[in-house]
Amino acid sequence: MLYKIRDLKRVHGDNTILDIDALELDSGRIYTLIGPNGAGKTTLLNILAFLDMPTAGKVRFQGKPVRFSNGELYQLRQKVSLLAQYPILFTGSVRKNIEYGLKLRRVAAPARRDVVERVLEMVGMSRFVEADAHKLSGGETKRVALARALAIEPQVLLCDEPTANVDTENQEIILEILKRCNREQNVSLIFATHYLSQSTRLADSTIILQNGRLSSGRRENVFQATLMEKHGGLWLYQLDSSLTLQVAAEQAAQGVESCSVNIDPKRITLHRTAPAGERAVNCWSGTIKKLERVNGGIKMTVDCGLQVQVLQPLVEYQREPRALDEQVVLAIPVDGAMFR
Amino acid sequence: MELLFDSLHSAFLLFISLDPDLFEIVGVSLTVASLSTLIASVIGLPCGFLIAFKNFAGKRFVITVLNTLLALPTVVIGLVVYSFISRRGIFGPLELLYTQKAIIIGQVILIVPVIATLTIAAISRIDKRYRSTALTLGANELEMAVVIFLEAKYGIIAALIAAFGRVIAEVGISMMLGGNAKGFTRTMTTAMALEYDKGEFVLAVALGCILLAFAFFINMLFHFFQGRTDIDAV
Repeated sequence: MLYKIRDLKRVHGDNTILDIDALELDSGRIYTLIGPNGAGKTTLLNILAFLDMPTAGKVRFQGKPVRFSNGELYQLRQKVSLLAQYPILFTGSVRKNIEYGLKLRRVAAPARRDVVERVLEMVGMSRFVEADAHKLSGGETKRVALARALAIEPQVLLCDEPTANVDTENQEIILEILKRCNREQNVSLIFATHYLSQSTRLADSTIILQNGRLSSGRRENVFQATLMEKHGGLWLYQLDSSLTLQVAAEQAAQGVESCSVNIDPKRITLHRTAPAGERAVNCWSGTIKKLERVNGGIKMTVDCGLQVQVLQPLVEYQREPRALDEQVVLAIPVDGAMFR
Repeated sequence: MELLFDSLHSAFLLFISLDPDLFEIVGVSLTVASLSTLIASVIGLPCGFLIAFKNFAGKRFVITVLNTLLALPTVVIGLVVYSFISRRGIFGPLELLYTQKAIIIGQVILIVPVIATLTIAAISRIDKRYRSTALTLGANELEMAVVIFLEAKYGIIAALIAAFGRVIAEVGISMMLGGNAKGFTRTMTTAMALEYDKGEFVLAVALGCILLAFAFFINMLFHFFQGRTDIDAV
C-alpha cells in the first residue's frame, strides 16, 4: 500500500478544504484525481507530496505512519515529487534547473550530465539544454519542470493539472511521458485533471473529489456530450442517446464542442411526474431497473435510454419508496454536472 | 558662477595632479563606508531574510519599526552613540570616540534598517512557488533558503548598494563621532564641510565632484540590478 488515509481533514479558517474518511492508493498504478475548481485536488496533492500538513487525520506512506515533522517530511520528500499546475523554473539555464535535485542528492557531475540528457530527450527538449529557463513558453516550461521532477527518479510522481494551459500537441506529449514513466520505471502516478477523457484513457483508478469529499460517483454517470447551442446562461448538450442536458455556462466545458460529462448521482432527484419551476430544466423519463442498498442510502439504476445512477438518502427513500420497473422522472439541476 | 567654474577648474587640476591629501580623504571615506556596509550587511541581511521568510507574531510591527528607522537622522545616531562612547559613557574606557571605529558604529546603526527593509522587500517579491519547488525536489530548509536568496540576489545587491550610497554621503555621524581628524577620520563629506567653513572652495568642490561621481556610479549599479530584478519578476 502506497498511501493509506483515514479521517483526513484540512481546514483553513472556517473552511474545510478537505474531508476524506478513507482513501487507499496502491504502488505502481496511475490514479486520476478529478473534480471541479475548489474541490480540494491541489490541497490533497500537497498533503500527498508532504508539502502541506493535514489539520486532522492519519496518513500512512508505504506502510509507515507519517508524523509531519520537518525532519521526517524531508526524508519522505526524497521519494515523492510534485509537478505543480503552474510550475516555476529557477533563474538560469534549463540544465541548471534539472541538475538542482541531482546536486542535492550529491550526484557526480558526469552522471548529472547523463541524466540531464536522458530526461530532456524523454520530454523532447534536448535542444533547449542551455536555454534561459525564464524564456520558455508555458508548454516548454511544463515539460522542463516534468523533466526536472523525473530526473530525481521519484517513486511517486504527483501532477497537478499537468496539461492545463498547454496546447494540444504538448498535452499529448506530456500524457505520453507520464504513461511511459509508469510503465517503464514503475513510478506511481497521481494526477489531478479536469478532463474525464484523460482519466478514462490513462488511469487505473479515478478519484472524484467534490467540495473536499470523495464522491461516490466514481465512474458513474459518465456520458459523452456534444454542445448544441448556447442560450443565455445555459448551454445545451446532446448526450449519446436522444437525451439533452442543459447546464449553467460557468459549469460547461469551455472551448470544446465534444466532451465527457459526469452527473453527480446525489444531485439527481426522482419524481412521479415532471416537476415545475427550476427543476423542469433537465427532466428525463425512465424506468427503475435496479435498487440496491449502499452506505446510508439507496442506489437506483434508471433506464432513460442511458443507464443513469441515482443515489438517494435512506430517509428520503423511506418517505417515498420506489419499486422495480416503476416509471419515474429524473430531474438534474443545471449545476449538477461536471465536465471534461 | 565664476567662482563655481574657477573651483571646478581647480578641482580638475587637483584631481589629475593626484594630490595626496585628496586621495587620503577619499581612501578614508571608502574604507569606512566599505567596512560599515560589510558589518551592516552581516547583521541586516539575515535579519531581513528571517523577517521576510518566517511568520511570527508582531511581524508587521517589526517591519513598521524598521521602516521608521529609515528616517532616523544621522545627528540623532551621532548623539546616541556619543553618549555611549564619550569618556563618561559606558564604553568610554574603550576610547572609541574620534576614531574610524566610532564612525563605523554609527554608520552601521544608520544602514542596518536600510539593508533589512530592502532585503525584506526583495525576498517578499520572490514567488512562493520557489519554496515548494525546492522542497519537492528534495531540499531541506537551509537549501530552500539558499534558493530564495539566490532568486532575490539582484534585489539584495541593490540593497547593499543603496546602503553604501547612504553612508558614503552622510556627514552628521562622521563629524560628530569621527571629529574630522586629518589622515584619520577626515572623510569626503567632513572635509567638504571644513573647507567650506574655511572659505576654501577648491578642495570642497573637488571632493564634491568625486562624491557625485561615486553617487552616479552607485546609482548606475542600482538601476542595473533593479532592472535585472524587474526582468526576473516578469
